[in-house]
Amino acid sequence: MDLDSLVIVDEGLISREIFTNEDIYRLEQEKIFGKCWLYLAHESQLKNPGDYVTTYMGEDPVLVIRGEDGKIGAFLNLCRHRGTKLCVRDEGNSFFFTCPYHGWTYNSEGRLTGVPLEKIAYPNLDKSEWGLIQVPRLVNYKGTIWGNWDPEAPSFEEYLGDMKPYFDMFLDRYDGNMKIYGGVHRWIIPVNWKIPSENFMGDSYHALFTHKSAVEVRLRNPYSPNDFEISTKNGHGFGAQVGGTGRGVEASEEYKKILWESIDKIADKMGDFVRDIMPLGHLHIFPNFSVLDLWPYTFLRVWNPKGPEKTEVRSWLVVDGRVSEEENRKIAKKFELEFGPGGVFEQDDAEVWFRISETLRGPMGRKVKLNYQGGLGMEKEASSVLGPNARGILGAPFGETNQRMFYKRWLELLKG
Amino acid sequence: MEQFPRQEIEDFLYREARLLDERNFDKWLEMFTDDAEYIVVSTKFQDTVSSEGVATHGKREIIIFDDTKASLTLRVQRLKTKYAWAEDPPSNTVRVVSNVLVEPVSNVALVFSDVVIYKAREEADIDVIIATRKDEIVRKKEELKIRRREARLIPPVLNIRNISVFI
Repeated sequence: MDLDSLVIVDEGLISREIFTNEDIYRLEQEKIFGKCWLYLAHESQLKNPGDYVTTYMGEDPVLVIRGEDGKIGAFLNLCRHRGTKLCVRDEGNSFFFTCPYHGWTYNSEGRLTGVPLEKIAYPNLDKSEWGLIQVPRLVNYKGTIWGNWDPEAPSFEEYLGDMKPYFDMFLDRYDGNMKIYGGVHRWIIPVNWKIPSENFMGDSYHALFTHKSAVEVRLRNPYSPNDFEISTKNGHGFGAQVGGTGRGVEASEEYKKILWESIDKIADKMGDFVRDIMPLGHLHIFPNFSVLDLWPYTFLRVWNPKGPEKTEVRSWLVVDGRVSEEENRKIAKKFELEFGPGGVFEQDDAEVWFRISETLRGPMGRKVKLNYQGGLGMEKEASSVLGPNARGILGAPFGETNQRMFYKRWLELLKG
Repeated sequence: MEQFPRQEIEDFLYREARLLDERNFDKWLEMFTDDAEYIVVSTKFQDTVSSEGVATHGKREIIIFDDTKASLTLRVQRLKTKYAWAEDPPSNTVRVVSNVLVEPVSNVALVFSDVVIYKAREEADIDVIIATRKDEIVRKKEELKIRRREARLIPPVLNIRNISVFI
């Protein structure tokens, strides 16, 4: 397959084939989800030995657990005997996982500890060789847990590249007090995983129209033209309204005080431009991890591929533990009104994305090249506009530089 | 003690379902008290360990809707704009309400019911939303009103792209 003809970044042309083709999808599993750093969990979900969550790395199910030894490990969530899925719960606490098929049992460090009738049926079994398959690279980056199947992969910090200062701004704001609030929303949307990914990476443009109803019912102020989008040229990117996304939306004094103190602290270190870009708005780390950092709520996202035209959404509200429970409850209420399967923003996102999939089946429709030319050639070095500590390139307001850079990275990895 | 004949409660729930299926949202909002709570959750399976170290298999609720009458009203206003794409064109829906049980507790009727919502849209498969509900229904000036609804969706992972209808 001539991948270069499908993604022509310099001209801002992308073939729709990449959102539906089975071969491309399989290649992505291997070359992208098998090689990139993938978000697994937040440390606040794994406080005690035995605490675990289950998730996916691409199509592979994984179990992330704090072992009895206190260390966090990640394992392919399947029994080594016949491949039965071992843990079918979203989260919990357990020191043992027993396969329901033949009863093989693994401990919280992934070791095979029990085989029924071992002496009769498996007299020569070396159990130490049949532990769970471990994700070889795991990092706890300021409370966020990431895994990588590729033993040769660069370090996570290297992988972030110029995204690091911005991701740091986001995480440092919480000063170690970030926690997941209220569990995980999970639902299936009928669209390729790259569509929501590119949306969260750089699509301020869609808000003007997809979410126009929110302005009409005064959930949002009319959208400001002061938008900026920053790409760090390695597939990651973010964008926001100048002045911080959602500023002016009602928030409590308590929330604002903690937020502003944190922003001031970071601005003192990084420069005044920080005050103009936090909260960070939409942020995406390649390939499928997103953040929406608004005023007054923030959530994390993973877009798990489930086939070329199917994505499992995982969404976690995160709150600042220094904010009172009463206020965080109010923040959660607002989040649930706006995002999640019933949110008034998200309902319409899912609808327009579904309509993309609806037009992919025909031989003509899937060949069409799409226009990703927003702000083409209008990029500047971010430092030339925002100050010496700003990294990456600044695209035109409402432009599509971030999306183009996302697909540039995507193409490099697929060809690599 | 207030009387809540089952027939009257059932008729109330059927009327509610019909108002929603007919998209008469303003009349539907009138069926709630001004201080109403409207909550929709999904249920996850979870392993937990008790303080004695005994493993149990528990469940955990994940909140999807946590609305007041004011936020429900806002959702209805949104549906009336020209930009509510999830309901443009409007879905055709049928709500089948069943298994109604009424337990009067002083001046409140605790009402359990199950609902299956069929939602049909142009060129899309029919979405089926299944929920079991617990309502607190009170009588205000002779009329029944919902003071609290808690609907529990059956699937732990929703296999529908959105919930653009009321449950």
